[in-house]
Amino acid sequence: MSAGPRPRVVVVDDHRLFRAGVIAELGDAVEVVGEAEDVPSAVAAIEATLPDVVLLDVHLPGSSGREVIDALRDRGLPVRFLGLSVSDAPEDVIDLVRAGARGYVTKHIDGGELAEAIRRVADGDAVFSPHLAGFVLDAFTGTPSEPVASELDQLTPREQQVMQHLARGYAYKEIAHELAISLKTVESHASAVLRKLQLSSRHQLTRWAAQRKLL
Amino acid sequence: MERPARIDGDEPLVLGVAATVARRFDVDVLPVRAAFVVLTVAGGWGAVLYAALWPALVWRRELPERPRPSLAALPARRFGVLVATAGALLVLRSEAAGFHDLLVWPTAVVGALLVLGWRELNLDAPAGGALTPDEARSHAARSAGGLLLVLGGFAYLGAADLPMAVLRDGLVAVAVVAAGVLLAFAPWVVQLTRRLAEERRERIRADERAEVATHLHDSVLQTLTLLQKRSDDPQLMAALARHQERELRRWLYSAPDPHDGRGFREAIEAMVAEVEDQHLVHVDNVTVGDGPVEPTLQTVIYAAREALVNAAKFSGERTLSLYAELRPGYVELYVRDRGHGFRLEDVAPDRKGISDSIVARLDRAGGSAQVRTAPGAGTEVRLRVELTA
Repeated sequence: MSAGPRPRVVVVDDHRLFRAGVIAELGDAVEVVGEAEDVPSAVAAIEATLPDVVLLDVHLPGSSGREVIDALRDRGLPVRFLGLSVSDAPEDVIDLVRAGARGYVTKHIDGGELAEAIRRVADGDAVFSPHLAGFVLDAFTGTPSEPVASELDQLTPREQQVMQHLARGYAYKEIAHELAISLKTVESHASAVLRKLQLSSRHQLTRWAAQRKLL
Repeated sequence: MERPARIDGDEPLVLGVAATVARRFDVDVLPVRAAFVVLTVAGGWGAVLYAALWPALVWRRELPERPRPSLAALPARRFGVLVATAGALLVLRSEAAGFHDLLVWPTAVVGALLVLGWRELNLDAPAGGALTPDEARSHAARSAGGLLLVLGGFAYLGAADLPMAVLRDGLVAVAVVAAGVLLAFAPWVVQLTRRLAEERRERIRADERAEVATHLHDSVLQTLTLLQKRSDDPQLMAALARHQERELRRWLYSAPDPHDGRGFREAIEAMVAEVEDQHLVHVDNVTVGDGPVEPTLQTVIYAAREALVNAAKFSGERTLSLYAELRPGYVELYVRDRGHGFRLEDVAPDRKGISDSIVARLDRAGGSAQVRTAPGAGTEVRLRVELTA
């Protein structure tokens, strides 16, 4: 992986014990420069420390992680967000990612994988948990009969393949091996999908959410 | 008593040869019967042919249940039978003895008229279904017309001034040949029919046995194994036993499976929860697509459950992945662990999990199951079934 300096991280979660656990698990892989437990303290900590990556819980007391991203959006800070949650509820996950998070992982992830995910986000890459990949497949490859609004609203076959492997629990490296492409290519496919997810017309995702009775 | 299975769409009239031939060539049975009768009148050759085609009965075993021939294609096929019969008559006339123009041709004409005049709709006439007045009128007209043609044919036969001797010889020859064939082959036919029915019953029984064995393996045997492993925890043992009892009762007395009537996503979630509870593992479950759970999907879900249970027991991993994708046209499930894997060749032949519960199950559902594994490389089971409609 990147041999650069350790990424600087702020951990935002309302459970103190959980924060402590995450920080302990990450160990020396990253440099934890701040902690926060709600939206105001998170915004303050991020502005004060300007971390590379914010590990952001989807649910914060009385609000959601999305509000942290929203509050900081216009400041033009070079900060990237990685969603972290026990929640598998698609609306939470998609919401956070569409707000601009560079990826999403569940709390079942182990320390080593989490550290790698943080490094990846720090490098500007996208991080998909199997769940996020599943949601993306669900949202983007619905009924084929409907005309698609724009190219942004569909995945290329290769992107679909990458998403399927991610949903099956494959790591980037394993996918590269499986599909006989380079790790870089897998990463660029994943980034492309994330960009599509964030930029695509609201139409597709709204329809998907409606089908899933999320609206 | 079980009745022998009916194999043909058309009831056999004599021995079923005409019905079988008709079925083989996708035509209705009437023109074929008519052809046999006409050829029999032409020197007894029809009866000879009938006996010669006896082995055709064997076809009946191999013929799949096919849909009735479409009504639109029938006139052409009947016409084909007529032409073939006419051709045979011409050949017989020049080559064979016992061909009396005056006897054969009127019979042939009657037969042809009978066939062409026959109501097409008798093929698919609804059993007791109400006919529209229009249909009823047209049926009556056709019946009357057909009857008229038959009577006309007989009148012609009578008026043709056949020598009585010719008429009598022909009829007697036909009767004798038919009786002989009947006597010679009847016991054999009865035996053959019986054996076919018996084989069919046997096959059904074997299938049922396989299904029961698979189910018992997945449920009762699994639970018994668990009970032995956890004999130090009486509470858990009791819970497992209760759960198993409930499940077995439900299965035996066919109360509806609680998975029935649910969506695919929900059924998978329920299955995952069961495996997580019973085997104390975490299953990372990602499902894409949703739809009603029909029997095929249920089968795939059961097979995936077995794959998860195997992974829980043998992989050494506590976190497993399940990816399920239901799309128009296919369903695909992947069960994956990063555990220590195994060599497929090393699985003892008496371990039924993979072969019966997964592979054979998917076979029966018309799908495929693949196991990818190697020592140290984890295991992935891929289940796929193409869905129709």
